Amino acid sequence: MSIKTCNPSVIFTLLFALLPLHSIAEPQRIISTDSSASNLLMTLGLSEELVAVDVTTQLPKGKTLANVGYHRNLSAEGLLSLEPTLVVGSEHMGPEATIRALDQAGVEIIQLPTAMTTFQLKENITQLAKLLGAEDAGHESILSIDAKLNQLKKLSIGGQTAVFLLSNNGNTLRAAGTGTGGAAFLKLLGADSIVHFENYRNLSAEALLSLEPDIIIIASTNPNADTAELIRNSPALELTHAAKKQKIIAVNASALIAGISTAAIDEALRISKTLTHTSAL
Amino acid sequence: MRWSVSLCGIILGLLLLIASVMSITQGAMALPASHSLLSIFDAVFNSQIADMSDYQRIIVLEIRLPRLALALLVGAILSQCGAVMQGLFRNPLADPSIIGVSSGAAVGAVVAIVLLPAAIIGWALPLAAFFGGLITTLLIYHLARSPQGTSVMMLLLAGIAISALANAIIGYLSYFSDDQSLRQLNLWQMGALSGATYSAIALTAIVFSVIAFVFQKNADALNAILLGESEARHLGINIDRLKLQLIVLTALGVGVAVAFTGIIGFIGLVVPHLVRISTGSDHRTLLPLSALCGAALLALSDLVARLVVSPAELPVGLVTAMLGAPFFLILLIQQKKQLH
Repeated sequence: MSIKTCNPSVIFTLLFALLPLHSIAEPQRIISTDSSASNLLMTLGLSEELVAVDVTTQLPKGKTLANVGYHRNLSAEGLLSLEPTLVVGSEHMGPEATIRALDQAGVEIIQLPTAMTTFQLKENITQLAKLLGAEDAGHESILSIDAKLNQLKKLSIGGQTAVFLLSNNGNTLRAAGTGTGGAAFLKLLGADSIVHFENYRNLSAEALLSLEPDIIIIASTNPNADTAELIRNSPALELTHAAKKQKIIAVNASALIAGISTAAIDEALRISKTLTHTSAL
Repeated sequence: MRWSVSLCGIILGLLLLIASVMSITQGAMALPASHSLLSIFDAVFNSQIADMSDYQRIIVLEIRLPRLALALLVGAILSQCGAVMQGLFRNPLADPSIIGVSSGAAVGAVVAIVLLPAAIIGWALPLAAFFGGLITTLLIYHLARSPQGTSVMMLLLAGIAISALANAIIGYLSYFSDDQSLRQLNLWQMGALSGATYSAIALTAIVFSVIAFVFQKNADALNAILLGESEARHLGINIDRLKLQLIVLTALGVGVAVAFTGIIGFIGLVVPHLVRISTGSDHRTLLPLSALCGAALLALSDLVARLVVSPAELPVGLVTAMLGAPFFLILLIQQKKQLH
């Protein structure tokens, strides 16, 4: 039987049977309900398959996607109307009724634990890459993260004390205690957090002065604000030790919204470079 | 502009029907309207007329229909309780929360969210909210009771005091809670109809039937109270027993509603006024018409909440507040004009 007389559809079928299954899978329609999940999906090169994101996700300029709202208050019908094949989020996705409806409709749900350490971040990347058949991209991403972490270690500002403040409005100083994204960020930088309570708490200006942190990191809406501008917005900081040494730095708040992400690591690197530069002056 | 009762009833009935049909057929997902309605018929009569995939049927029967049912029941409960509270306190600004149910329920909710483990929150939260509301109401009632009877003034003042205490407790627990609990509490306080399960609907339906029956039986007594308490007493009505009965039933009704949906404001306040403007304050007609109107309004608010930021969803309490507050302002302005 020559090729010409073979039924073309038979050839097609044979060809398809030979190709590995995941590379001919239909394009997935993925909904991300968490900014760290969106971040991971984009890192793994799956941004084309993303059809909707949540309200905390920051998409790269020029890209717009449907917005599913806040991840604890998802609408079952809203999600299903987008015809997803997969929903990725954190363990806080809810409400329960929506998760049940998604299960009933046969939509796959992946819930990744919030990454508060780089170890968990790498675990999440590995797990997600395996589930989505993007192992190569996952592996590359981990190598890149390890490289950045090594760089961070070299630029280490270890030994210095720091405090992470949540906002730059007036004299309300909300400091990040243990178990928060802010504290995880300080650990990433290698600095010792000077506050030991749990969760975010308000600090009085007097308390902050008495604690004398070497570095003050502020989650600001303007990540490029310099020390002078940050002090202008929160005058209570002017008398601190850190102000005199110009070690009050702004960080992009949205990078830390869901714990440690690749964006958070990039921010940490940027800040470390600025701090070592300042020290050298 | 006074309408006859039957006209008002027919209009509200139609409004309710339209609201229900729209709630079933409209939503984030585009489903064929007639088949959506037919699939309900199918579910009830075990037939196979509608031509919908299983997936689509789930959306109609498991998501839209329970929400509609809960919206209708909660809307009816809240508006009837509002009408009764306004009649009992002879105060147009009264709403079910005046007896402290909402703030008590919120304390119950914050205790459940902040102090109880996440695994049991599913059933613990409604239970805690319900008991919080009930205990607070009974406390307020107890404070206002005296050998001379239950003073309405004392009830109001006790309500204010206990609400302030409740808010302080909520504030304190919120301060020491973590991010996740804070956000959960915040969402709960904005009200949502997404927790509609068939067991919740059954419970709410039973509670509604009980309170609607008792309220309607006491409609004449409520009319008499409008004249004044002494006058009502002289007419032979046992005022203190009536007060206790109505307050406990309101606490029950609103407690159950709040337990399943969080805090939905303005329905209890605004709906009785709407009906009074159209057909007067006779409680024999005010109560059933308020129930119809409240049910229709909440169903429509839920529809708006589901559609306006699709595929996301607004908490329904926000929608009722956004609709209710301007309405209330208009009411006040009209009142002012009438006084001149």
